[in-house]
Amino acid sequence: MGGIYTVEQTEPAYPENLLQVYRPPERLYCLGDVDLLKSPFTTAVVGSRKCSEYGKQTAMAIGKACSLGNVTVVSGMAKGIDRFAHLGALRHGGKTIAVLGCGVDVCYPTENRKIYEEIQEVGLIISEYPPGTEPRPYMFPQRNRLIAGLSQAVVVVEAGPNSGALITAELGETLGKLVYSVPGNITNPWSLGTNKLIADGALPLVVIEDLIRQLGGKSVLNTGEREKLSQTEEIVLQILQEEGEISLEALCEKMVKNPVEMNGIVMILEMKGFLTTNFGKIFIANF
Amino acid sequence: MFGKIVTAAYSGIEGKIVTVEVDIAMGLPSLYVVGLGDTAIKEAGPRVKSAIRNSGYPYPDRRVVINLAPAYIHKKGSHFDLAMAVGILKASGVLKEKKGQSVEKSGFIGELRLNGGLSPVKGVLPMVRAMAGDVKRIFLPKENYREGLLAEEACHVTLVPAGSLKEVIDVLEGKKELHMRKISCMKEDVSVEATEPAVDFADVKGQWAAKEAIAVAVCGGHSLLLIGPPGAGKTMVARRIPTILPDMSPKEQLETTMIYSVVGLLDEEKPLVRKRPFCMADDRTTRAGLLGGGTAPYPGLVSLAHNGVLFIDEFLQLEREKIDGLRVPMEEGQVEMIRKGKRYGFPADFILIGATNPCRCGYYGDSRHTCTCTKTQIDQYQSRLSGPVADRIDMFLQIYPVDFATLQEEERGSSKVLREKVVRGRAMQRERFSGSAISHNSQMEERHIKAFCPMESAEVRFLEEICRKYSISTRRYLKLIRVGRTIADIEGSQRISMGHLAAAFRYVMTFQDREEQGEL
Repeated sequence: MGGIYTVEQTEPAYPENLLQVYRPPERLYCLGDVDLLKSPFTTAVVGSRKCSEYGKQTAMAIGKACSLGNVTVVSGMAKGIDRFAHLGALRHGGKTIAVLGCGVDVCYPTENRKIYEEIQEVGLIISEYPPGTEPRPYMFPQRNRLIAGLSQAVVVVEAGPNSGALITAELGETLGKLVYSVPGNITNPWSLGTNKLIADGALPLVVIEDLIRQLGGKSVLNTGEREKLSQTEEIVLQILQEEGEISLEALCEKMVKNPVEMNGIVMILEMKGFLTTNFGKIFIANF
Repeated sequence: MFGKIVTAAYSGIEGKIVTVEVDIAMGLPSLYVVGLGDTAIKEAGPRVKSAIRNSGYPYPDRRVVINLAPAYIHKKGSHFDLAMAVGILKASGVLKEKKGQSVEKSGFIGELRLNGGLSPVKGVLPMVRAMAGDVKRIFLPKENYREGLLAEEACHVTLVPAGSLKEVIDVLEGKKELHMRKISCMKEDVSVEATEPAVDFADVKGQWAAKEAIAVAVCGGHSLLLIGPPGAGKTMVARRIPTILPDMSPKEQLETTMIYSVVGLLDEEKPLVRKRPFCMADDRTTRAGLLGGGTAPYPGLVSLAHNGVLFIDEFLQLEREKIDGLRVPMEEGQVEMIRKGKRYGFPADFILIGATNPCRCGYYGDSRHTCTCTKTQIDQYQSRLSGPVADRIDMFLQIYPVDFATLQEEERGSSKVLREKVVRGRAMQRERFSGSAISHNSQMEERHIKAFCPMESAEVRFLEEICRKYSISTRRYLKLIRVGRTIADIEGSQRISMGHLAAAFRYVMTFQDREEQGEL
């Protein structure tokens, strides 16, 4: 791990994109690979802290698609969507930039420490606040302008009606960036903000590859090679593909199996990465 | 003039012989009771005096001194009354014993009413057990007669039920034969209660997974925490736990009955506790109410649930000190309290079933309500589930409200079916642990696991993979194998398969472990 670099506005390493934002920071504090500031393709992936399984999976899928398509993921390293966007990129060897609302040497929130350390190693952490600055609530909306400024596009994955992610989207809009919003169920409170964005004119993110192609990255479709599964496991996956999500009880009814036994099958599939579980429901893994 | 009478005291659930010595001497009429008695004993004087007079016997107009020996142990309760009264009557020469009915060979338990009647008392079972070796007969209130018969030691003595002081004296003087039928060591005449339980797991629609998990927990003695929003049916399933508890062995029945004896909760007609106890507590239960307490300690709910189930609602709302207090009983199967340098122990071997909301408002993850907590509040709430709490719990289960479609489906998991599973699994455990000090899978230590949980190389590799991927602690790893053992037992399988371990792993994972899945 290298030390903290500073990049002055006057230096050539300073990203030109940032000069367009309101009050461009005079100096950026950087931790990690400073070259990433000059990434050819960048997108912001943002969303609310509280998220549904759908939001989590979508964020990770976008992170994955970006890393395969050589697009740098910019986000805020907050809980929830931000975290999963970084994670999706990191897991597939992609590039990612975290813009913090505190000093670059302060890990906030602390539960993201593993990601924080990983991004230092393979990505970049930046902030306009001097090292040692503790986070304050007003700093987060301010750093959102940097997230929007650094990126060619802003993708809002999930946002409630008052989420800070909507600020980033608005900033992106005023800067003339592409603003994508991930459509969700109208019954899902976490998709209220994103659906509203679409109604207000944001681009619905219908297929993730659209985003990559639009930015100019190379779109890589998933090649269908995967681990060999037992017959029962295949049937479970097939049911899940049809249903999208299902409760354990309903799955037991369909398979005519006892919940304890079913639990074991689900666990093994989860460990192999084919599905995820949350809130008592089982979901097919899309990332 | 001097009289010596045998009775007993109890502390914790242990009885101890106490001798009541009565001395009547010249002096102003007065009564002194010495020997570390509590208030009920200090107040015994006037009660005994009135009872003697109202039974038609003269009370000595002299100086009466009563000593409860040994004088150094603390005594509590009102059951010394009868022994004191008989002692006074003997010392004052009123009582003319019939030959062979000697007072010395008798023990006395009972509280006197002012009219000379006998009232039932607490703790008869441990006291009868303590006295049985030293005396031939024990006089006791007739309401406590059946309870006294439960003591195995009662075979060696005759229990004499009496309704009043006069009856006791009449028997001693040979004027009356109370039915001193020596009932052959208990049990037969304690009729079997065959009452149909009012509830059944079949009443609960959906929640099949929760029912099966409860069966696993009850079978192996694993503690279980149900996590879900209000209305998911946590309490509803918990209330049905008694319907799947297996029968108690005679030894277990007696142990539990002893505890109910000292708190005076036994039924007069059917004193033997035959059903496994099911006790409910929540965050408002006091620490003493939960764990036991008091200057002369009384048992708490952990002891009243001995050999049964303790259900704690709103588990994460419990104060840290209560949760910490559960550690000793859960690890050692008993609680110990020290008062004035003396140890009081109560058995407390129970299965803990807890229930909790997933967040402060309760609705996190409930598709029908919006959770009003922030992510930080949720994290804070769930972080209570770490450290000491997570250590107490073997199995975690998230349960969510069932949708309408599920309510229409046919029921799965009736009490009868679940109970059969529990009984089958228990039978396997009984066979396995015969001759060892433990009785449930949840009690297995590493050496037991080595001996009783043989695994093939595929399973060992699977366990290694779990450890590598999820970085679980040793404690949780052991819990995983214990729960896996129980799941295999319920299926009647000697071998623990990968499926058993995988299912067990899903149960032993905490919120935090699940979060870890999102890690790199």
